[in-house]
Amino acid sequence: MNDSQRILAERIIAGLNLEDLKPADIDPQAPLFGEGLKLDSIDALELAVIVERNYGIRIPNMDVGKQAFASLAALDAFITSQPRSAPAAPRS
Amino acid sequence: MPRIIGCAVATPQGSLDATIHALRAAHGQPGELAGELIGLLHALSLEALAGLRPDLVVLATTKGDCDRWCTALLAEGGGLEGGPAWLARQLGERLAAPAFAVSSACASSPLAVGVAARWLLAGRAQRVLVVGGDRSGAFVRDGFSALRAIDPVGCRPFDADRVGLRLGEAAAALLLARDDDAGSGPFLQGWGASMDANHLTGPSRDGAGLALACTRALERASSGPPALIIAHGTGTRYNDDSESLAYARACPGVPLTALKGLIGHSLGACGLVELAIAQEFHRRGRCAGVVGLTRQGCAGAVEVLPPGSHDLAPGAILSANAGFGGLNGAVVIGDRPAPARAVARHECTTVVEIMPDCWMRRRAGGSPERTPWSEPGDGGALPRLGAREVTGSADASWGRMDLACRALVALGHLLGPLPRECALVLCSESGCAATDRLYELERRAGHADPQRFAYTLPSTPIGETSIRLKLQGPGLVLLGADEQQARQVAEDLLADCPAVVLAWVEADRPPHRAYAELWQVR
Repeated sequence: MNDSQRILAERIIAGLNLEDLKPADIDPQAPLFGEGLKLDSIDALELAVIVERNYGIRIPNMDVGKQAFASLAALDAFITSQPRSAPAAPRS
Repeated sequence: MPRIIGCAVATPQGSLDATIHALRAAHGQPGELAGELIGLLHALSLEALAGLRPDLVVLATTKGDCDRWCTALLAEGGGLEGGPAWLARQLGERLAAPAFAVSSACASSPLAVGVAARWLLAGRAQRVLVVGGDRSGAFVRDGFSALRAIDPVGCRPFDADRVGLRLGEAAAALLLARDDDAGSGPFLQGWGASMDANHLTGPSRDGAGLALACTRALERASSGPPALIIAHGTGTRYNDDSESLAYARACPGVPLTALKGLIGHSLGACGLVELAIAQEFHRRGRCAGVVGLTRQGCAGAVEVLPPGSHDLAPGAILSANAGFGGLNGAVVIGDRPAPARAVARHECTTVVEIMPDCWMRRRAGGSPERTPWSEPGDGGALPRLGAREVTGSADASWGRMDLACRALVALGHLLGPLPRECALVLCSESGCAATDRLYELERRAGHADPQRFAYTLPSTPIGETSIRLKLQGPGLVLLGADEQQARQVAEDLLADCPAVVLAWVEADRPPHRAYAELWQVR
């Protein structure tokens, strides 16, 4: 796991309230949804919020989200590939 | 018995009729509106309710007067004004009758009607007034937007191009009488409810849960297939797909209509508004098709009635609703009274209680066993009730649950194995006040959080518990009910299901306790 993946993993764990989980527990190549982390569609919407707030990248719809959220590595690559606006203000 | 002897609908525009005209002006669907529906709504008026003397008032609502509730929650001292329990008490005082609220998300109305029907059949009342109402202010609007569930064009139930719902606002009232000869309105023939035990905000992909509620309602009515289905029809992709599969399974070949393209989604009140309209359809022998439908496109093979006026075959009407938490309810109205059904002999087999420092379980005939928590709660509050400590294993979505959800899930686990058909009845005064407060603070700061929004329903703990314990009986929350009323609601349910979990949870406020009883038919 590289640095940007680890930071992303920390943000996902905090944002989705994944209790009992540390960044090292997330296999960067494993699916985030269904098997793997077993996230569901409420988590997907929340993940879109996390990406927008932390990286200033808006996920226009969940079809884009589905591909971007395939795995931690895929999401990290998606974020790196996107042009950014300034991140939104952090959650108060 | 029971019989519908009066109904009324009111909206911010005054009558439902005025709402339809206002919506038409705002959203413009010229030529599509069903003349039949507009005409018949003149017949529904709040004046019909003047001078009523009900023996009980049951309020069907998801969140009550949400705007007032949030203002009270955020104020110094954090009161509970505006919430379902408070609103039910206000209604009770004005109508000089005992009152409580039933909250099962957007299926609140059919669940409340079921409670009222069983109450009448038990002989405790001659007349029960069911009132449905929800405010759909910024709290709700921003939440559904965060869930990406709003259709900017307008609600298009069962249409191939539908993308979401349109919020509406309404209050409705239905007066039910025990006597068969109390009027000429249709009979309440059947009622049924279920839990999907599948997903918190998404409907089950195969519609099995809603099909179960419809089948139970039709079995209760024992009058064969209905002549018409009034679907929930929110216009979201998943809901309408799931619903169409449910009807294809539970009552194949029956034509269906949906009303939210015309009147919007009035949340917990929607089922009661739809029942008021259903009884007018029944009386006139005509019904309205689906406003907003251009080209049908849904997963299940169903006959969706196009916009316009249609003849109605003789027979009953099934009206169904589905809500967050996978809570479903259905009601059948028609010409024949519901057959009586006695409550079987039953007993309380297990009691569990969660306290800040330990949990206790007592089985019938046994003495209480107590188990201390590994880390007791601070200052009299409940501990965090972690997944491993409660269930013995990790759980990916446990962390997002608020304390009230965890408490009810924990009670369910600690009760031991529960039959799949078990009903869940949760009693509370404050509901999900703590989560509502957090969501509202974030929302006012410009960040309505989709995940948090899913937990701002008093019935979310029911959904979480049914999903984890795979329970598919009826699920409802009672707010503002006293202990005796709650026990009567639970006991009545044993006429329709083999077991009921009756729970009281105040996780975030004193007394910081959660308690549950398991009642089973012998």
